[in-house]
Amino acid sequence: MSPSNTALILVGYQNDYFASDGILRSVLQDGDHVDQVLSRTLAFIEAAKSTDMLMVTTPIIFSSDYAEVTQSGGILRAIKDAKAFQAGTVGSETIPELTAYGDRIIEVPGKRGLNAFTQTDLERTLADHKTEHVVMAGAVTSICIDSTGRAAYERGKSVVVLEDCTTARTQVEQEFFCSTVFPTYATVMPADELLESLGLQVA
Amino acid sequence: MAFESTALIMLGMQCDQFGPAAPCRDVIEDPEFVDLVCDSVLSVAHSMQRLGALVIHVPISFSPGHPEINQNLGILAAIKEQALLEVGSPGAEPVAQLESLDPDLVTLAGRTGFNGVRNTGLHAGGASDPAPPAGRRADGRMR
Repeated sequence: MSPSNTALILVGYQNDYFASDGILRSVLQDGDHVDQVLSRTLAFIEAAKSTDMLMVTTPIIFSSDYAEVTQSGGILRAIKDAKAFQAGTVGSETIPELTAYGDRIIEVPGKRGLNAFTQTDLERTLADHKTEHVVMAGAVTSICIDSTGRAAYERGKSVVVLEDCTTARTQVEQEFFCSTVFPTYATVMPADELLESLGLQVA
Repeated sequence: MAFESTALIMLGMQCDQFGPAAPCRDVIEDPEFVDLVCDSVLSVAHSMQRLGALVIHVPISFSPGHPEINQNLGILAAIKEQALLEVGSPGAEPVAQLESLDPDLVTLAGRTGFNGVRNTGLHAGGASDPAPPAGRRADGRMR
């Protein structure tokens, strides 16, 4: 594993999750956990930005009438009901802390569901960069991180989930997924440990 | 919710997972629970067939030597290491109880990972899915 054959996949780093007034901020873990996740993620990006590691964001955005959401229950229905991630709104935009990196972080658009590979060019983007290892960060641990991580694993990638750069809805959920679910297909570790194994300085 | 527009999707009802000597019993807290699950699934499947719902089985199987698996970690690597679910082996066969279902049972081959939708034709809407293979009925006739 080296930066050149590794991709950091940033999931859900949009204002509706990560901004203090984000519509869905309250569904994530309590207290300052979300801020800590963002802080750890930015530290990882800062430490890896000068390498040739691929970094992508996969924002989830719906049209103004949410025509893409036909489900009558579950998280997508809740997003529709809350009017989150609506195209053209500030809430749907990638957080400024990531856009500050400009073209260093590639945006892969088209995500409308749980899995960032579905209806996006993520698979082709990874292939173009000869990616063998995928590193998962963002929200929500039990939903989009898990769905996308599994999909990467099924596509033959080795998967790392950064336990301190992902957030669930509750601490119990975060711990359960990191201790029990992710190890069935991924390696779970803190960001600093991965940086160290890649020979990068911890920021 | 009408039965005519509802599908029961059964995943991996195969001997290496639900059979009497299934290796997965070693990693489950209460091995007897495997039998309870199998019995419950079959009971639901019978009822849903009777009520007009579509009942589908999506097995998971691999070519001899498991060339589809290049992962060296996780559950797929464990399946390869233990040579499980190999096409033609007794472990890849459906559990005997499935034979009691109506011949309208649809079996979709092609699954080599977690997701029953991928590579199976279960859902034709996946943009990244390759062309689905033809389905096969439990009695061997092509759909």
